Amino acid sequence: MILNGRGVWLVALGAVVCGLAAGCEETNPQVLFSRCRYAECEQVLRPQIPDAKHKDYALVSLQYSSAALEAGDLATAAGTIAKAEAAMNEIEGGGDTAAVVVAESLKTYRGDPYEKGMAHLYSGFLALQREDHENALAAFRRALIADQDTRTENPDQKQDFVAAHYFAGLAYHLLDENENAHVHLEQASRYTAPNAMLTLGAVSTANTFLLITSGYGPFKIASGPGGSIAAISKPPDPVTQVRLECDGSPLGDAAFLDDLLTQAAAQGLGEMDKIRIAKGVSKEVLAQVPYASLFSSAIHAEADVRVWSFLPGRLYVWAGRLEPGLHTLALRCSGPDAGQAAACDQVWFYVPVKAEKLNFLNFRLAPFRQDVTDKVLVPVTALPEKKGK
Amino acid sequence: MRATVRRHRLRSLGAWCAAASALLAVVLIAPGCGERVFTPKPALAPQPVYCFDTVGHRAGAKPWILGGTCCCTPSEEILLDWKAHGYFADKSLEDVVALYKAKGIELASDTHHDCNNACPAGPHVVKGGHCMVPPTPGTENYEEVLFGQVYMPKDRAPKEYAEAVPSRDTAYTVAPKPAK
Repeated sequence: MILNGRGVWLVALGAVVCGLAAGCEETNPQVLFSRCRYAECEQVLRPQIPDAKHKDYALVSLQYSSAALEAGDLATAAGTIAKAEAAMNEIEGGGDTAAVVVAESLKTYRGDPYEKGMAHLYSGFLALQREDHENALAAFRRALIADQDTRTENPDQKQDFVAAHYFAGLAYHLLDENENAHVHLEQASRYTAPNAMLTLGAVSTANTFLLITSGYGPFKIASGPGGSIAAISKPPDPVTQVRLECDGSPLGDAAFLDDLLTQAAAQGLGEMDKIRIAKGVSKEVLAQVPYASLFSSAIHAEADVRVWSFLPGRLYVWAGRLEPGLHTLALRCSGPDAGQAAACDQVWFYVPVKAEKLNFLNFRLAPFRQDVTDKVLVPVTALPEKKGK
Repeated sequence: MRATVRRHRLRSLGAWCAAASALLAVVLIAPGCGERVFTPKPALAPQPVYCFDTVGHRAGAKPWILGGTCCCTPSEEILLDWKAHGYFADKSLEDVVALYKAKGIELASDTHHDCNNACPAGPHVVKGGHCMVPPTPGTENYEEVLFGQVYMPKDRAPKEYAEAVPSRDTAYTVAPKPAK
């Protein structure tokens, strides 16, 4: 079930109320992440990762790895995401039986197929950065397997994770398996708008690959009878197109790969969902029967609305050949509202392009990330020295 | 019936608020907050102040440990340049590495890399920390270390820099206000 536009804005309003009531923006990871203060978000989340047996271990680890990744702490991101992947794929987990009787949020979080897919995709991309092509390929293949787990009767929705196909194709190419590379790149082209960047020719000549992500990923709202249905939506993303410039010269548009709302919304209902909805309906019916309404409060039918909320909403890739050296890279954003999209523009100075290896960089587009309004420039020499060593 | 409907609405609102607390991100990107004007950082890069492995060693740059601006990981090649400019004349690479270690500075190694100075030894030495691993390109930290300056909100900046904001000259281009 996809939440309509009005619902999204009501959620936004609720968020305003909750956020103001919380009054703790300096220590709230959600607030820090949404303000692009990724390094601070990482520091705040680090002590919050629970024990590996905790039901939310994988979820908090994924949030933490997102903060680390966007903060540029690639080593931490890779290590944490690997642990989260293992936890998500564990067959044993607590609370599954209990969840039939009580609230579903007591279950061990393992994520929806799109969340597993993204964990594997990031893991693979980080492996590519380390020039570990075998493990990168294994991760991208796991992402594609996760997509096949999507509960849907439409076979296309089980194999339409374009980013995983694209990077699997790239990894196969780097391992000199060009036939397999061609197959995956063709699959990538099949499920998104045609783009010359998604061909084996383009992949084999490129020396720089940019994974560009924008907006925020899907979220779930408990709705329907007894809150038993997880309605899914995504915060509005002002960016629909990303233009690249290198040292002031245009490099063309990034190729759009995936919208994670589409991936998330493909997931249909499973047996547990049907049981939960039946419980929700019973709860609603009981609530209307005189004297029986007391029993209705004992029925827990609420849907599990836990999501990896730091995920981006849309994925893009740019691949091409850049001269080795240090460059100024600009990401110019456009969308239906030019002003809002322009607030996501980014310029990065002295970006290195190495001659001796392939270059993999990721950029997260978020509104006002590079806004300097009401900011001052402070020399690093004026910053307080860290005590302790 | 009316009571039931009201209960249902309250339940829904409660559920929405619970989810919304995890979605504060929405608020900050909502067009409804749209009075904010985006002022991008200057389009031209300032002159680099510090050198480190990613941008390459600047010949003659004085090593950090001696109070200079070179934050390159010590290597035989860099030591040659340092010696050519009068630094560490009688020291071996091991001696130089030991000097850094003695000061509690952590250098890039096979087991310590790609941390973007967010590790326990961080921040970067130029920002007052003890980590000298080269920062990750395409991040705020990378530019802060390279250029030796940090953009800070006025209210969090040291008092003496509260007015140190660069003038809004041609280096700035201000995007149009979002349409209402």
